Parts: sequence; C-alpha cells; structure tokens
Amino acid sequence: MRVFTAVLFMALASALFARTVQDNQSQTLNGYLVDVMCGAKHASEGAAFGSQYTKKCLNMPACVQSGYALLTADNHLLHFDSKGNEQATKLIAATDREKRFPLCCGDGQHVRQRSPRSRYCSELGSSGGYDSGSGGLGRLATRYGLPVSTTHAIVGSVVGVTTIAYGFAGMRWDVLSAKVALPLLFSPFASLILTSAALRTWNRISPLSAPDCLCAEVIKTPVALATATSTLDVLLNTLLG
Amino acid sequence: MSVTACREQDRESVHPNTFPLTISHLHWFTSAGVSFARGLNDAPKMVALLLATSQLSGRAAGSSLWAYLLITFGMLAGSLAAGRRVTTVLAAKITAIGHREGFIASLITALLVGPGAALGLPMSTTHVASGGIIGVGLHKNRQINWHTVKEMILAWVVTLPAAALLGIVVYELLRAASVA
Repeated sequence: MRVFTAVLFMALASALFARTVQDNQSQTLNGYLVDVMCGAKHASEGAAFGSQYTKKCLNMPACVQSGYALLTADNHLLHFDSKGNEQATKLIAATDREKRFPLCCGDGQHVRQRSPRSRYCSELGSSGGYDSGSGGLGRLATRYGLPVSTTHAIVGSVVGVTTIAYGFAGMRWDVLSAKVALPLLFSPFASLILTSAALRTWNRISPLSAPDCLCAEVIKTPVALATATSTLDVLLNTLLG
Repeated sequence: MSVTACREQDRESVHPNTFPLTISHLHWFTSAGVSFARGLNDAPKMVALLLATSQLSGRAAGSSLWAYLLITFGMLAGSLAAGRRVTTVLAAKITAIGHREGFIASLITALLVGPGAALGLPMSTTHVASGGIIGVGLHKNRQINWHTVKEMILAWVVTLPAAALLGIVVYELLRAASVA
C-alpha cells in the first residue's frame, strides 16, 4: 500500500515539476497579423476579422504608424515591439498575398516553412511589447487550460478507492481492461486517423486553396528572443534573398 | 478611405460564393452533435457513480432523473465558469482550424463517442476531440504546436494516477473521520 501510494505521489510530483519547467519556456500563439489601430477596434471579432484583413489595410499610413499586432482566436490583441514591427513590415512588403495573414508557429527551434505553399516565414519577436493593458500575453500565459478527461478521472478514482476498500481482488480487472481501458486508449487514435483521412478525401474531391503560412513567436525572455531573432535573420535571408 | 470601408469592400471580393458560410452553419450542427454524444457517454458515468455509491452505502438510490439534472447543471456551470480556458487550448493552441476542419473533427468525434455510448463503451469525449484536432494538424502538413500537445498528453497520463491518489486520500480521510 505504501509503495503504491509513493509511486502515485511521485508520478504526480514529477508531472507538476514538468509543468512548472514548461511554464518558464517560450509562449507560442496562433492568430492573424493586423495593425494595432484597426485590431483594437475589431478585437472582439477575433479570427473573423483577422482572417479577412488585407494587405491594403495593413499598408494604410495610419495603420502602419500604429504598429502591428497579433490578433488571437480568443480576441486578444498582442502588440509587437519595434523588432517585431520591423519584421512585419518586411513580410508585408515581400509577400504577394493580398489578404489573410495567419500567424502560426511553434517553438523557436521549430521555425520552418509549414507547407510547400509557404513562401515566407518569419518570426515576430516581442520581449514585452504585448498589450498588458487589455490583458494580453501576461495573463494569457498564466491561463492554462489543459483538457483533462473526466472519464479518466472517474476511472482512476474508482480503481484507486476500490483497490483500497476491497483489495486488489475486489476489482474485475478483465472487465476494466476490455470494456474500459481499450476503448479509452484507442478512441483518440481512431479519431485522429479518421479525421485526417476524411479531410484528405474531402480535399481531394473539393480542393480548398491552402493559405500560405506566416510564422510568429512571442517570446518572454530576452535570451530566448536573441536566439530566435538570430534564427529568424538566417531564415529571412534564405527565404527573401 | 476609412479602414472599415476598406474592409467591407474587400469582404465582397473575398466571398464570391457562399460555400464557407454553408460549412460554418453545418459546423454548428456537428458541434451540437459532439455535445449530444458527450451527454450520452459522459453523464451516465457520473450518474452511475452517484447511484451505485448510494446503493452500496445502504441508502435509498434516489431518482436517476434528479441525478441527471444535478449533473447537467454542474456541467453547465463548470463550462461557463472556466470552460473557456480549455476551449482556447483546443481551438487555437494546437493548430489553426477552419470551419471545414472543425466540421470534420466534430463529426468524427460525434460518430465515435455517440455509438460508443450505445455499445456501452466508455470513451473520453475530450480525448477523442483532441485526437480529431491533432488529426487536422497532421493533415495540414503537420502544422501542430507539439509543445501544447506534449503538455496535454502529460496531463492525460497524470490524470489516472492523480485521480486514484486523490480518491484514496479522501477515502482514508473519511474512514478516519467516521472511526473517530
């Protein structure tokens, strides 16, 4: 019993430790490139606004003067700092796209072209240029909401309490594994494979033009920013010549 | 020219046909389908737990209707209170999802979880929906934020032992209290 409890405690503690370590790493966000002036007016529209925003609007003098920002799907407007604005300006000048500038990128080490159709990939660094006034990145980063399964929680607690209350033999392990564990284990993989296959089939029947992907990363620490910026410089030079 | 005018003008040229609008409407239906499937598969687990423990404790089992109503209210309150955090992770932090992808992911989730309930196979709507969203990202040339996925899987792995541990702790505390 003591060994069993100790193992569970260690699993929990290590997970919490891993989570704490990860919290200190860079924050990556998805959204659309907009300018601060129009983005602030239409932030409540989120992706519906960002996905339709055009190069023409991004290039208007008042828009350029206000600076650029990332408009996330949950309606947060994260301002870029001077370095980010500089890179956004480069991107807008270089791209031949007329509308829709999705910003979607992983960690610094994962910055790369996301699809064969991607022509421009950049990283808009922001070491503190986000909009703290409107509850931007600072609060966003702390608001973790990992989707945890209530089913797994119920199964875990039932198994734990039953084992303690009625002993190891008190659980019907054969039923648990066949009727509970297997469907729980395999259903996410089934969903992943079926969704991917269904989309592939649908796009074959009715092609949808894939958007070019611009990549952005909002990094919290100056050290990470320096690393990411140097990566970006190499990348930009390669891509934009 | 004002920015608003520019935006409206562009919208006219951006939507030459109504196809995306149709998919966006259908997406609402498949999302509702996922909610229905979740109700079919998830709520009975909590009701079963409630009624089974009532019977085991020797007390009246009570009405299952009241148990369902209580659990429905709890799920609604939880979703309104803090559900948005999870929504943000699934909707925006794993991969960019359009209406077409969302429609398919929701449809597959509903088709797996709903019949699973009919066959008596407990499935996690959360895991199935997350699997669908990762499937969307894999389809889009692996445009996935693996950092978020890793965190999510870590949370999944921890859920079972953590729930077992908490269950044991609460059970032992209650037993100690009743003995005292």
